[in-house]
Amino acid sequence: MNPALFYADFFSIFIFYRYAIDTRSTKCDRRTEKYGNLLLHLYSKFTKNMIEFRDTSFVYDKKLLFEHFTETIGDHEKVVFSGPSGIGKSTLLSAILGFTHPNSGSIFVDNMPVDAVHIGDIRKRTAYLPQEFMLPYQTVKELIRSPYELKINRQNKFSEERMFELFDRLQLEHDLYEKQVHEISGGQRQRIMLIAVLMLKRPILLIDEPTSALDSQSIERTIELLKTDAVRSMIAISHDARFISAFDRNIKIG
Amino acid sequence: MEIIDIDFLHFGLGLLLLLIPAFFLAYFKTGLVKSTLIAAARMIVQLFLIGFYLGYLFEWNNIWINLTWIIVMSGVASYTVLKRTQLPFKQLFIPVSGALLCSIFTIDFYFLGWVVQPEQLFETRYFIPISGMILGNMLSANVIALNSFYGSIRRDELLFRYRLGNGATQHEACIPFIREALKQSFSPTIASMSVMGLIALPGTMTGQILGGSAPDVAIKYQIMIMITIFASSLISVLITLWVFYRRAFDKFGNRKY
Repeated sequence: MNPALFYADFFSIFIFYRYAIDTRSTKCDRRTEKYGNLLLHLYSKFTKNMIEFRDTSFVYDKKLLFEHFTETIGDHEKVVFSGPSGIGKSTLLSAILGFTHPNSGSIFVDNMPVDAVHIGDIRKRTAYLPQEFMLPYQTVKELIRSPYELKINRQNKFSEERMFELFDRLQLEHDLYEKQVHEISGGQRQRIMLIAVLMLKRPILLIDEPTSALDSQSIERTIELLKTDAVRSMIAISHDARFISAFDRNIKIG
Repeated sequence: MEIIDIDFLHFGLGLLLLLIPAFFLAYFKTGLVKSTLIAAARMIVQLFLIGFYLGYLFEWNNIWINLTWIIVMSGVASYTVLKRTQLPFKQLFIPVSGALLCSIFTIDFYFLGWVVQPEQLFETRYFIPISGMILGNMLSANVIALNSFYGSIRRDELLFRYRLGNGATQHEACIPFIREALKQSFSPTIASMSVMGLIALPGTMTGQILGGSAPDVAIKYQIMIMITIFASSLISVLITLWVFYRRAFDKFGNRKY
């Protein structure tokens, strides 16, 4: 087969695929989708890590949260979602991971639409810390290491050295690592949970109210750590003015 | 050794024992007299019916009839499980029945085929009581496991999402919840296994001894029954949970009901 033709064929499928996504058409056949996915995968490797909201509207409990929300969060960009509580900031964040769906419009992560086909690939690139919640573990060690049980994270070797470095930066004593979860305070737990997701070294970090249980000194330390972290794109939900001024951009919701 | 049958007169005499609890339940105004009597009446009718149709099953000793009986019973068990867990009947009835059947057959083939080795694999005398026993125990294990699994996923949805959002597959995200469900549904069985024979004489053994078996044969069957119950409950719980989480979540890992 003529290689030029071969590539031309691939390229045309790719164009068609993009078109199919953009018009939200689901009618492309399975083979097209397969090649399209392959190319999309390659394509997304070389493009910037971004999160795009295209004209999204959310309705919750028959109440319109917000509509026509369009925003692009670029590679290496660290943004804060701020706004009054109950407005749907967490909904927006969880929509990136497919836990909620916009009623209209679409969301793209690294050029992949958040849909049933791509959700697995998208979640391989994200680290996610929901707003305060309890993990069913007895010890701090288990708490930190639990994401490392997952198959995808196994090749990423857990380094205690790096962990203690993060402990230092957040002013946590090293002996906390050997303690029981019920022995540590809420603020300590929140920082430890943050360390757990930071250590996953994912290109995209999504965190919901990461400093809600912290005192003002710890908040500053946490912001400093997040600001200098090598994560390529970061979205944090926060009300805190220090967060808003320290990050690249503040996106007001609602 | 011929077993002594109980004739109707003496059977009635035995039933009179119920009057003692009935009297005290009435005396303390517990309001339980009516339900006790209804429950006793139901038990008598149901067991007589079973005795009646088991009589026929034994007489026919037909593999197809026996298989049909087990399939029908799995359906009934699946219905009961879904009713007690209040999960959607329509979507889950067939998968849950299938899970129960699968587990029964695995255990029956292994236990009857290799351990007991009756002349015919599906011989009624072994196949029906053992399958019935297994099924009854699976029922409660499945109810507890499904309730725990679904309840904890609903309660700790953020944990589930935390795992998914950090790259877990659907199956991996379910693991802590499966662990919890297994713990809840099997710790009672483990506890009762560890005191077996110490506090109470277990049912199978008592029945066999009354039926004229030697105690050393009876205990062997009792041990085998406990093991088969344990294995079959575990297999069925795993399959039920698996079919359940395949059906109960969409591709994004969101609950459908």
